[in-house]
Formats: sequence, C-alpha cells, structure tokens
Amino acid sequence: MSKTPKILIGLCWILIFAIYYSSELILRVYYIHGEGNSKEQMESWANKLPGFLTESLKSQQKTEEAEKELEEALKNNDKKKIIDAYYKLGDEHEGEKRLETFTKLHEKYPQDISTNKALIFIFDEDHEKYNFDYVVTYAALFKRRHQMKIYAQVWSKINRSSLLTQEKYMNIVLKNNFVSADFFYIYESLESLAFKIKASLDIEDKIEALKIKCLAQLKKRNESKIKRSGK
Amino acid sequence: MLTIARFTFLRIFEPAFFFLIIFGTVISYVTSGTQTLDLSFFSEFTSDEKNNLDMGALIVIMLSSIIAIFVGSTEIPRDLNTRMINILLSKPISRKKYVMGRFLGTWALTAGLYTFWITVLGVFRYLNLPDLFEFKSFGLNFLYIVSLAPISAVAVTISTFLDDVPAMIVSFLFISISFTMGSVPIIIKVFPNEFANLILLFYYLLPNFTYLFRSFEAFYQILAFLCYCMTMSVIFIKIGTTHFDERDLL
Repeated sequence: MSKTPKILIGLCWILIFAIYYSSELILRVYYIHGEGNSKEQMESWANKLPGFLTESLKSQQKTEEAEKELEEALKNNDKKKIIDAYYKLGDEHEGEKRLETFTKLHEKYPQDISTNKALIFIFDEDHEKYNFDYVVTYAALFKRRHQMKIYAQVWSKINRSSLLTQEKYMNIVLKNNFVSADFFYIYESLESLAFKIKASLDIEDKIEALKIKCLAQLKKRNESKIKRSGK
Repeated sequence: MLTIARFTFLRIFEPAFFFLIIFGTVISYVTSGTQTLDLSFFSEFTSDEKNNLDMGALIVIMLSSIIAIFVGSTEIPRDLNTRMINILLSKPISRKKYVMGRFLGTWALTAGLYTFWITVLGVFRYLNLPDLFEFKSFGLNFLYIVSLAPISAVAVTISTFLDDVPAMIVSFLFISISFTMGSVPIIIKVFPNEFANLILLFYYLLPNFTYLFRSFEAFYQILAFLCYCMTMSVIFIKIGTTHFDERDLL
C-alpha cells in the first residue's frame, strides 16, 4: 500500500473514533442531564438505586449544591452568604476536606466572630498556626460575651489535649472569671484537672466558687426553658 | 459481498423464521394498546408517559436483537464447520468482504423483521385507537433499525473468534453487559475518584447499548444516535474482518 492511502486510512480511523466518542458524549450528557431537569432525574435515579448507593449519591448531590452556592456567594461578594455557604459545604465534606474548607473560611475572615466554629474545628494543640495561642489571640479580638462563647466551645477540643494545654486554658479561664451556664460542666472538669496537676488550694477554691455561680446560671436557664415549654 | 448478504437474508424463508414472524405479529397485536413500560434502563427517568418507550416496540426490539445475536453468531462458525467457507472463498471474494457480507445480511434480516413487526404494530394500533395514534412519534420507532447494526456487528465479530454456541453465549453476555453501561456515569459519582477512573476505563472499552433504546426528541440527539450506531458497527466489523483475514480456517 502506498503512503498516501495509508495516511488517508489513518485519518479516516481518527475521524471514526472522534465521531464515536463525540456522539457518545452527546448521548451520555442527554441521558444523565436530560433537558435541563437534571436534579429531578438524578433524584429519580437515586431512588432506583440500592439504599447504600442512594445515600452516597444524595450526599454527593448536596455537596455539589453547596459548592454551587459558595461559588455564587463568592461571585456576589456577600460576606454573610459566603460564610454560610462555607459552613454548609464543610458540613457536607468529611475528614481532610472538611478541615480544608473550614481553614479556607477562617483564613478568609480571620477577624470575624462568625468563623469561630471553623477555628474550633481546625484547632489542634500541635498545629503550627491554629494552636491554643492562636485561639487566645483570636478571642482577644472580641467582647467578653463572645470570648466566653469561644472558650466554652473550644473546651470540647481542649479536654482531649495535653495537660499542659489544659492548664493554660484553666489559667486563662480563671483569670477572666467567666460565669455562664455553659461553664458549669467545664469548671467541673477543671476541678479534676486541678487535682490531677496538683494545683494550689487557691485555684481549687476559685474553681469551686465560679462553679457555684455557674450552677445558679444553669438553674436559671433551665427554669426559663421549662417555663417556655410549659407555655 | 452483497451475495453473501443475500444468502444470510434468505434465511428468512426458513420454517423457523415463519414461526418467528407469526410470533412477532401476535405480540404486536397483543401489545397494540396504549401500554407504556417504565423500565429504568430503557426509558426516561421522569414518569411522563409520553417519553416512555412503548411496550410493543420494546418487545419487538428485544426479539429482533435476540435474532441478530442468534443469526450473527452462528453463520460464520456454521460455514467453517460445514466447509462451506472453502466454496465461498474460492469465488472472487476476499475474507474481509465475506465477513462484511455476513454482517450486512444479519442486519438486513433483523431490520426486515423489525420493520415488518413495527409496521404491523402501527397498523393494529391505528385500527385500535385511530384518534390517539401519532404518526410522528410512532415513526421514530423505525430509527431503532439502526441500533440493530451494532448488535449484528458484535455478534458477527465474536463469531469470527469462537464456535457457534460459545459465540452465541459470549455475544449474549457482552450485549447484556453493554445494556447496563448507561448507569456507569451515574454510579461512578458515588465512588471515590480512584475507583471512578477505573470504572470509566472499563466503561469506555464497552459499547453502551443503553443509549440506543430510548426516546429522542431533538434532531442533534437523533444525529448523535445514528453516528454512534454506525461508528460502533464500523469499529466492531473492522475487528472482525481483521481477525478473520488472519486466522486459520481449518
């Protein structure tokens, strides 16, 4: 066979495969996404799949929706919507991806109180940046009310950290004399911590005193809750 | 090549095919009501009835596909076993043209049967419910003649590799698996990326018959469907002819 027909045949085959894959692509897109009502079609598909696949597919859909929402919010540059969208996306993600999403959120608004939940999620006592010192610096940016909220929330992570970090936390909390219903259980834990690290009696007494005050707050809160539910 | 195709097509006059024609006609009559079937792999996802493949057409398509597998995968092995191949190839015809002739014959035979059955179905339906009969939407059923081409091509190609019974079984399995391929792009969304790529590789190596049996509305979809069927047939027949050209005929 001469060279020209060989090249021609080769080109013909390239064309055939190009047509094959492009027509397949058109049919696939139409098959999956249909005439623009892909959401309904995907839902219908999901319902026909076995249970364990349905859950995964639905969560995948939710993630895609959250990603779109975030994209939209970033385009409009609406701070509140951006923060909400990041939280929504983070909740859809798991493990490393969630960590990454929350880190991005906190990095975008490092001085906003709304990103405190993201910071608490990414907090790690061994983290190069988001360690306990960072939490202290971050909390210092806000009013006392917000500070209490941040310290109360971060306890869920601190109580699993080393004794050294727990001690640092205890010192700051005691220094600020935080009193709120949320702190009652924290002071209870701090009592055992003080015993464990053999803290001075003064510290133990202070914890006890603050705990009693917090208990009063807790009682008040519970009473108002009962009243509200009774109505 | 056309003579070989004619030989294959003439099998339609064998007694077994008469029974099949009668069987298909009865089915066309029985299903000539307005039944629609919502099967996830063959119809739209929505419950909108107008988009569903009608049951009569679906059964006729399935019947034609089975005949395409049966005829396509037995003709070449039978010629080899009965030594008919020596007589045929002693004429001025190449092996490639012989395989292509068998393919065209198989396709023509199944297309002929399908056309007859679908026409009968249309006539019965029109007589049954003349007011509800839509010529345009029913006419689209004739498009599926083209989808019988890749099925015939797969069966003929597999028969160049195997004897008749194994070829029939393998063709049947291959085509059955290909019918489930449409679910792959959706199912991979569930798997992590590494698995998805592996499954996609498998997906691209197999033809996707799910796309062939569904309703089409826009012209570009019909065009894509025709292109998909024809290029897939060409690819499979090329594999078949190349292998048959090189194989030992003993």
